[in-house]
Amino acid sequence: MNSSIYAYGAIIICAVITIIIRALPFLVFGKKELPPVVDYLGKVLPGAIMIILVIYCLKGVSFTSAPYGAPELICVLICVLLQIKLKNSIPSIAISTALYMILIRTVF
Amino acid sequence: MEVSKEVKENIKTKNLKEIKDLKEKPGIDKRAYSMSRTFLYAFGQSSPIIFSYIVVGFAFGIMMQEAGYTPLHVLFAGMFIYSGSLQIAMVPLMVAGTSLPVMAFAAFIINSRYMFYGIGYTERFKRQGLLYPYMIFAFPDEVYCVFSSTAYPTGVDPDKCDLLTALMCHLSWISGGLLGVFLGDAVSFDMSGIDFAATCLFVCICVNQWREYKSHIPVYIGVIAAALCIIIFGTENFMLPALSLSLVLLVIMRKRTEEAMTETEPETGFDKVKDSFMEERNE
Repeated sequence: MNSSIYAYGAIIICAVITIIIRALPFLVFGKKELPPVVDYLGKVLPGAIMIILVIYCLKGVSFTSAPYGAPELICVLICVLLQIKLKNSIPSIAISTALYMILIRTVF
Repeated sequence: MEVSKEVKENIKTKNLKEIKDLKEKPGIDKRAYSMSRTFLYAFGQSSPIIFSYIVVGFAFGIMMQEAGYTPLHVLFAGMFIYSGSLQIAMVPLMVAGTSLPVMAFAAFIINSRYMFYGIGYTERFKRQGLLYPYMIFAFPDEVYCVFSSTAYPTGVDPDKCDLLTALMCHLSWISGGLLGVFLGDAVSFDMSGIDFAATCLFVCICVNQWREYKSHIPVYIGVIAAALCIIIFGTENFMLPALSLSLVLLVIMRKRTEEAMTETEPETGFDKVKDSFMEERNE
């Protein structure tokens, strides 16, 4: 029971911290007229953020010890090729994730 | 004949004006929007997120269930935290009984990237009126992905579309977690590796952006910033410095990037014809 109450506390803390972080840019830029540079950043930031997110997802992968990140790199590459070919995210995600799950169990 | 031609012209210019009004002030004529089209478009653009949220949420639900937490914990976490990376990272922290101040610090480190997401979305979210705070809250990585590439087709109500997208993504994340915690026992299959779906989603968005963006400078900046910060700060702590560095670099490179982004290239056959026609006339 104690650990259950602790878990609710942890969830509330995480929720509060997250909402504060999310609200921050809106508190800073929400009140007044937007300066043009913020408008510009809103347009170009996603391009930089998205690739950093991909790198962030792969940060736990070890490239210095076997299998040298091979399953991750193979599946990311296949995902890129599928997305270029099919232009539809769902099959690209489903196929590359399934392949990844197979690769880490069998080959690597 | 003459009269009808004039009337036709009038109607044409009036239509043009209405279309122009609609483009300038979205939401000015609600009759032009179709609810079913809006719903279908919102569902279409959310579907990759819904898919990967159910899958990754399922993994989170199983983790919680294995760690001995109840469906109510999973429900609250999904509803009020709504952040995949933090929720998955907090399970082992909770099992270890990490003190709440340390937990708060961990949450801040893991989610600090969200500070960058709101930049440029204030006007768009404000249009939701009373639901403005909800839009600010329901804004994780994946929703940011969709919103950064939305291009509302005609007949789609932009504000309703944004709200529906946010709601559908949030609901699928909550349901994924609940499915995991309830069905976790029944699934004997080892789920490890399933969270790779999130990586694949971001990869797909990168490919889409590569196609849509006229300039690839932002992507290059992102790669350079990430590489530099991984060398300096290591893989565990590179995220916040990398985002800050990209922001600074983008501001420094503003003139070049803006020029490249607004470069006018004749996109449609009609534009080409019009351009060549204008050239001929000038000669």
